[in-house]
Amino acid sequence: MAKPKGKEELLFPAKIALLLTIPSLFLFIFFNIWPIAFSVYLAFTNANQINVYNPEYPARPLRFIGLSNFVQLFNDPAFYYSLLKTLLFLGTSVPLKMLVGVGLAFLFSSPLIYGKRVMRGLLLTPWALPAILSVMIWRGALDPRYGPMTPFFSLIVGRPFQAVGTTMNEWDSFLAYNIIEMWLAYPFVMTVVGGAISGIPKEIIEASIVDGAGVFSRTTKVVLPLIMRTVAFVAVLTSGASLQAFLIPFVLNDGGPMKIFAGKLISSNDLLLLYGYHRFMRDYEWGYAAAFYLIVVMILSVYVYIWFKFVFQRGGK
Amino acid sequence: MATLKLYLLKLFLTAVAFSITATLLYPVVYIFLTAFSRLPTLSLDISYFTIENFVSVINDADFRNSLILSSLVSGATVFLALLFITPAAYAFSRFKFRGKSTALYSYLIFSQVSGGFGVASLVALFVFLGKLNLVSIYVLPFLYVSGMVPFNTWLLKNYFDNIPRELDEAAFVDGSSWWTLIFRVILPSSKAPILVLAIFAFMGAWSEFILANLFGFRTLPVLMYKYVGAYTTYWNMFAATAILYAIPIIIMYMTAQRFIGEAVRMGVKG
Repeated sequence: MAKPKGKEELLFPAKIALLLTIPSLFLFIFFNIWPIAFSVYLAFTNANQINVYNPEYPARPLRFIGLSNFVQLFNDPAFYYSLLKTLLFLGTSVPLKMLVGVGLAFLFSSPLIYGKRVMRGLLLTPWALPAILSVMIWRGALDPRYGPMTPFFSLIVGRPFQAVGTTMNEWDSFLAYNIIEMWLAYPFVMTVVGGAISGIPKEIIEASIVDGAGVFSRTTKVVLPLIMRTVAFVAVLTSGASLQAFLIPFVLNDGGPMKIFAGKLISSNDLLLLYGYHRFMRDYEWGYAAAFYLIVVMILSVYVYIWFKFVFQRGGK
Repeated sequence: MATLKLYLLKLFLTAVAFSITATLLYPVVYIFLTAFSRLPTLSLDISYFTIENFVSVINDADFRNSLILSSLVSGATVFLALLFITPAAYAFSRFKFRGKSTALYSYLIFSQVSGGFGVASLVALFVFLGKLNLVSIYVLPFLYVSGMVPFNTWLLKNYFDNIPRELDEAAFVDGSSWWTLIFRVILPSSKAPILVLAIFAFMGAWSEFILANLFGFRTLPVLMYKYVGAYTTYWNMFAATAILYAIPIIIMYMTAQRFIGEAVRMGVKG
């Protein structure tokens, strides 16, 4: 029998392909894409928790209010505050997790460690645990009175460390977010960068030893340039996680201590996604929250565009 | 002399690696040990050892209800994920149709921001499910599966690509019935990808918190979230609950470790 022309040549009728893909595509669009389209509608209304179900609610009937939500949003100092806090978190958490992850990858690339495989396996624990459980464990670990990690951090900040509880401190909880984000992400960074390091041909390393390069210059001048693309790539990927941080601030302490900022009651560490969630669940300004989340969708789209460019720069595969 | 120096260096590096590992894993080790402690905080005194914490957690009606709810929701999610995603991934691997690469790329791109988009669409999802009267525990597994479609379709398609297609093509050309084709040819040769999907779906549903919490379904993570504040003084009870909760996940992680590594590599390769 003649070989079929090319791997992609269809033997199966295209109608069946449609039949097989449509159900999952429908599910995806119905529950994931449609709500985003629906928030476009909400964003132009004065929706709240009552009038959205009862449009003729006398005190506040559901109305189109044009761009009012967006005008209000862009004139809201709290919005810029949340944006800046998120950028700050991006700027602190990404270097931290890259530092720890790349450091561990280098350390465990050394053949001079006993029990290397066991320790490396154990270090992947945060990966094996559900993120929600990890954050709850950290919440217990940072309890101001009983938390096993609290004394350690108190030593670092030089006073009782308070990231959880009734007398939370804004910057202690910000530091805690960074630590937990690092803890959740280092296995990924370590694994991928470690893979890149072990992928470097032995001849290159041996040649540099023959040339008399010490451990330090071998690391910085030979190994590091060779894995730089991977490191940059991991940094882009893991920035996405920091940008979309929600579970950590929400579960650890619901955004930290409340404070009044420009006449508005907010959590002092309202990162982007959490800021919208609080407008939704605390203020019940659903139209405003929808408008805000549309802006977030745009910000995330910019991020994913950068990510996509990056993938294609690497050659597409 | 040189060997002694090397030996000392090895010892030093091992000590460094060990102390870093121990520090990073301290919270987890602590919680594991505390679960067996009679005291709310850890004590190294062996006379405080007990398994009573586990007994009282299992005897707790709230815990049992949540355990049943979580098991049912996760089971349903696995079933629906297999039902919806496997055929689609198979089609993406074996068929040529219009919009195929667009759909695949959209899935891949979306999966990078699915967490953020998920939260960003919560308001609208809440309103629109409320209006359609769809806020129900029966809808929750569908919600979970819909969120899994992009990444898992993509992942599974890559697995199917690695399974030789000659087998199913030959069966198709021979004019076998659909029944034979699906149950005798395709499914038996794709056990691995289907197992991966089942495990990923279970882990996703078992650990989902945001939606369950928003809609007020008391799955295990939601119950534990309610406990964790109140339990700070009963840290040993929380620890026991956490271990019971983590057991299925850890078993699955160990089974699927190889696949999880592969999945991450694929995600990285793009």
